Amino acid sequence: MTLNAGALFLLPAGNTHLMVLSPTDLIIIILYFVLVLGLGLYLRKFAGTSNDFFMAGRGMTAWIAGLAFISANLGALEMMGYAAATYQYGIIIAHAYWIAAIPAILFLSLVMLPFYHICRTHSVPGYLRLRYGEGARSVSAVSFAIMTVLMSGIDMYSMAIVLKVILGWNIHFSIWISSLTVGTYVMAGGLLSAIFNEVLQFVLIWVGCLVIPVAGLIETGGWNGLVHRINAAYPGQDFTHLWRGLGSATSNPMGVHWTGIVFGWGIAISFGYWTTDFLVVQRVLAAKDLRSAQLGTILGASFKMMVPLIVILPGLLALVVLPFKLFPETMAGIPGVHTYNEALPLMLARYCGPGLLGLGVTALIAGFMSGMAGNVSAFATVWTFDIYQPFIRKNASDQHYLTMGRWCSLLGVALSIGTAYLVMNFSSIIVYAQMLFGFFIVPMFGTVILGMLWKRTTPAAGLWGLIAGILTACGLWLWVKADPSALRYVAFSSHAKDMAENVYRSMWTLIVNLLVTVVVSLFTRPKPDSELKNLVYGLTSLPAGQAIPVLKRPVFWAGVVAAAFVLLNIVFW
Amino acid sequence: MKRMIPIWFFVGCLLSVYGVLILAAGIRDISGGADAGIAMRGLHLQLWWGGALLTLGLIYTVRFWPRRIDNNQSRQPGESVAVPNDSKV
Repeated sequence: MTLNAGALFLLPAGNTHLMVLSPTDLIIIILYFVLVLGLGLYLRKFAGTSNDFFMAGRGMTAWIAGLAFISANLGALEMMGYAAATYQYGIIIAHAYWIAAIPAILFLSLVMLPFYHICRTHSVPGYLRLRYGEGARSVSAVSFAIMTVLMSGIDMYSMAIVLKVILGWNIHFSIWISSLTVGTYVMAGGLLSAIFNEVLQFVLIWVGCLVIPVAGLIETGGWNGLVHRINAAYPGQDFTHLWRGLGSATSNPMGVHWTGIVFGWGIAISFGYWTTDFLVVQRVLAAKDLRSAQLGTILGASFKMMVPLIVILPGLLALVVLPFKLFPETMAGIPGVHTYNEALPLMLARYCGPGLLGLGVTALIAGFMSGMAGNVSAFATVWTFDIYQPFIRKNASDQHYLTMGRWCSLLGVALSIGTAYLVMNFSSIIVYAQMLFGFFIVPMFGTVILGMLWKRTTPAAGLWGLIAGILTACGLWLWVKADPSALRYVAFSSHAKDMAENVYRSMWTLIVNLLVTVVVSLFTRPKPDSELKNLVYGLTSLPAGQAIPVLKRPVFWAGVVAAAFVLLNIVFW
Repeated sequence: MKRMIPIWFFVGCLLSVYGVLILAAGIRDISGGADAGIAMRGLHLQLWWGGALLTLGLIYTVRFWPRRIDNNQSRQPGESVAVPNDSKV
């Protein structure tokens, strides 16, 4: 969920750059490229069937599936975007990692994964076909395929622009070297390659970025010292409380009321993204069994809770340790001015000498590349199983679909390069693409969850609910674009900033999606029970799990993570 | 039967090499080449970080060395990707 990431693209393309790499830093970066290419070529021999290529053989353990699940979300774009947003809005941005993630991930693990896993679907659009038929599957598959290519191109372009700004590298060089690398290793190993690289990325991001909070907290005298210095530097502004300023839209810098955070961000966006975005769900569908998938997801949730340490804390530290102020993106390009989006790279440059700097930059590159790889592998799967197989060539051999998947990975990379260059010429497209992402993902949640939990939901309702949700999201966005004063209706406040508008728009989208799905269901004919076996609650034999010791039960660990989530919200209230 | 080398072995190797490189850069900085623009230089972060990465990398490299995995466990193709099993979650 890169709600603020669109702003990243407004980074200046000037001649100056923030960092100078030493030979040690360059060796560290080159070694990373060598390893990921070598891994891709090595994994090729393990991707001999379509199941290996698209679902990693469904052989992942909980640890691997969980780390890949959370890494698919932990991109460099998101890290830099949220560190920037923290500099602007304060610790309130940690909601992105807590209320806007943890409840949804636990819900996915305990409630939705059993259905995805038991029906043995290859993808989320695949589940929609089983539950609702071809109509809903087609809408979701086509919109998802477009989104993945767009997002991959955006990752590619943003990496190129960030490397240009930070290191002064040529944009075309960055685009081509990253796309060739990603194309090679995804084409060779498919989802297996993508997952291996996501695990590698996860480790690199932590070891590369953890140095900032460690050094920063020592410099500021620990958490209490940091809070004291922020309060002294910004009197009258609350940068260090999660909920205290959310009683009114005018009392916090984001212009959002707590209802927007809870219902818009915490339910509509969060549940839409974490439970129905195939990019992340595909990782846990690759687990070797249901319990591994559930435990992996819960493991991912526990790591997600810790990410603020390397994203939010650097943003807060930047408020007091940087010797200059950061400015909005509108001031980008003015000599000597640094913008919000440079917060994380500036903090890296502040504490990291030769070697450590290379490690930090490698972490960011790994984040971007693994974002591209995740999108390309998801694109290949959805294209092959949800578009090519049903509409273009049914009943071909497994080898044919495997070959199609490999070439489709390459096609995905080629389309991403095209998107990257398109974006380069029309930079505002990126901001719209981020919103389009929300337009298509949020309505999916209502359609999928009603389909899973209410057997009365009909195929027509699934299709029309999905379309109504998409139209609502687009319509609200256009309304505010055409008449900015409409914000007071859409977001309940004319003070609402972009992020506040996004969360409320998502809330309305979900409400309309649910209402239309329910109403259409009541007036149309449902599928017979015999066709809903293993797809709907009440008609699916869920594993009992009584024989498993308590410490190995997903529900126990979900409880532990939920308790930690509540505790964090109380501590930083 | 194809046996897959666990990802943690590659992670261990990479961290070990990175640890050595960062440690060497830290030692070079102590002997006079440090960048004056770096904050908290007195902490000698490169030494600590390089040492920690090297230690962690070696632990993972040895723990997931391919021959050890082959000898200790009989896995099916595809399952051998993995590594710490569920019981450790």
